[in-house]
Amino acid sequence: MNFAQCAPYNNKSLRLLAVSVAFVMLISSSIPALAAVTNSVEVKGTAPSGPPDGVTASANESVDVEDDAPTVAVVRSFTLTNDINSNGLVDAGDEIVYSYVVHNVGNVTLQNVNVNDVHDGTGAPLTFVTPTSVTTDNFVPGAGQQNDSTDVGATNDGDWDVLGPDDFITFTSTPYTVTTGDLAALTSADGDLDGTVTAEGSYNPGSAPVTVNGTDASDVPLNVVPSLEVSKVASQDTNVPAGTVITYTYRVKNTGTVPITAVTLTDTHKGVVDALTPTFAAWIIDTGSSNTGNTIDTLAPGDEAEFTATYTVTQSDVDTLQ
Amino acid sequence: MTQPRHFMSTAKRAITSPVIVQLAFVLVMAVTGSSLSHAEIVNDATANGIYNGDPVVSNTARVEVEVAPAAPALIVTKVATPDSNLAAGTVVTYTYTVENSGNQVLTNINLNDAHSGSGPAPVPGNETLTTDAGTLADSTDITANDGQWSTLAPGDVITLTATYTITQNDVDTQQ
Repeated sequence: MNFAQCAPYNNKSLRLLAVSVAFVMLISSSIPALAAVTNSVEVKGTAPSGPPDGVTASANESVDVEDDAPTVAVVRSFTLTNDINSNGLVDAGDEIVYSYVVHNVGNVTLQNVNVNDVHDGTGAPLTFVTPTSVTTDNFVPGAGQQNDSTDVGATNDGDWDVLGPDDFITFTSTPYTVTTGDLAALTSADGDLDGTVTAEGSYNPGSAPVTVNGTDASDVPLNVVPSLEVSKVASQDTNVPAGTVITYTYRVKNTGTVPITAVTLTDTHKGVVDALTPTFAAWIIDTGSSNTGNTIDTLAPGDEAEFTATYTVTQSDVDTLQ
Repeated sequence: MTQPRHFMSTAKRAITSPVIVQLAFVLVMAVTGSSLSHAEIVNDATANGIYNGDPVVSNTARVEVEVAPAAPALIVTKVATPDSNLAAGTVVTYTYTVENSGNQVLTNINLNDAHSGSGPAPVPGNETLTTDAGTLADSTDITANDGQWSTLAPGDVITLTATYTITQNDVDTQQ
């Protein structure tokens, strides 16, 4: 009898070796076992006066294997694959690629493993690249199998066919270009690009397949810098006599990375007249900004608007501001 | 050798009256900011916007416009009518003009005529505004005909008059 005949579920004519192997499997399990590995031992003997094998005895023993616990986990990360301004941060226009490390953390082999990432990006939808090889092929000597994770079907079809326990595979996304909209309309208070990736696999114990999934909601920190800058010059600023009309020219620029809305410009004038009313004059840089009168509805990053105001120097200014 | 008599006759002295205009003008230092140096109109521009529901505030852009340095100045002129060959008893009318030739509003302008005649000195009065340059009605006088003009704006001119009666003593001594 060779060793192959000692496989579990074979309940015929096993040697004690098979029993010992099954016993090792039992003690390696810490989970109460319900599924049974059973075997029967039959002993035959021939009495001196009896027929061959006329004396028989048998013993049955079964050991339980642990319950099936199909579980999968996924961890998402990203790589900045095109950093336009080389600042190491994720800006609009930059390109990222997600990686999804899928781990069979259960105790049964999973099939048809795939990932789906529904992130909050407003750009092109993500598609996913199936790995071509296993990332980590863990096994327990004598128990788990090596090379038990394979993708035997079509390559890059979204499914990794067989993933053994404790093995890892890594899906990737197609490159995603971060949009201005991603930074303009944040869905999270922390300024990150949120999302949830789901890894899914099935386990077929013989009846209906069981689908398991794991999720990860790690975020992509976006380079969110809301910043406005104002500059101002006066048409004449020295030795100004009463009656002189001074034109103030203002530039309002979005020096940040995100669109700013409802931008207004105020000028607290500390001459005799309390305040000036800057009036929108022109766009200096306009890549998608808009205004309604003196209010800039949206000021896109890098865009710049010009305002003007005039003030006539009064006699009182000359009398008192000495 | 004696001094020629005609020397004295040709050296006949005139009745002189140097005019001094006195003024008091008020300088009010308007201190409106800790970094505000004088002579500047300061204004601070600030842009405000909203991102993701939160306010975004810009830097403060400050411009300081330096007004012309204070240059208070007055020019006074005087004309006497008549002004020659005056007999005792002749009433001489002095007409004075005072111009604010500087760049600030002046107040409490007084005209003092230091007269060398022996009679009662002329007292400038009847002050009236004769040139209202620039902004109209920015020169005013609170009390009429008191010899003092209350507020005189740059470029504006007031005129005052005074009279003096030539005395016999003037004729006797101012030869």
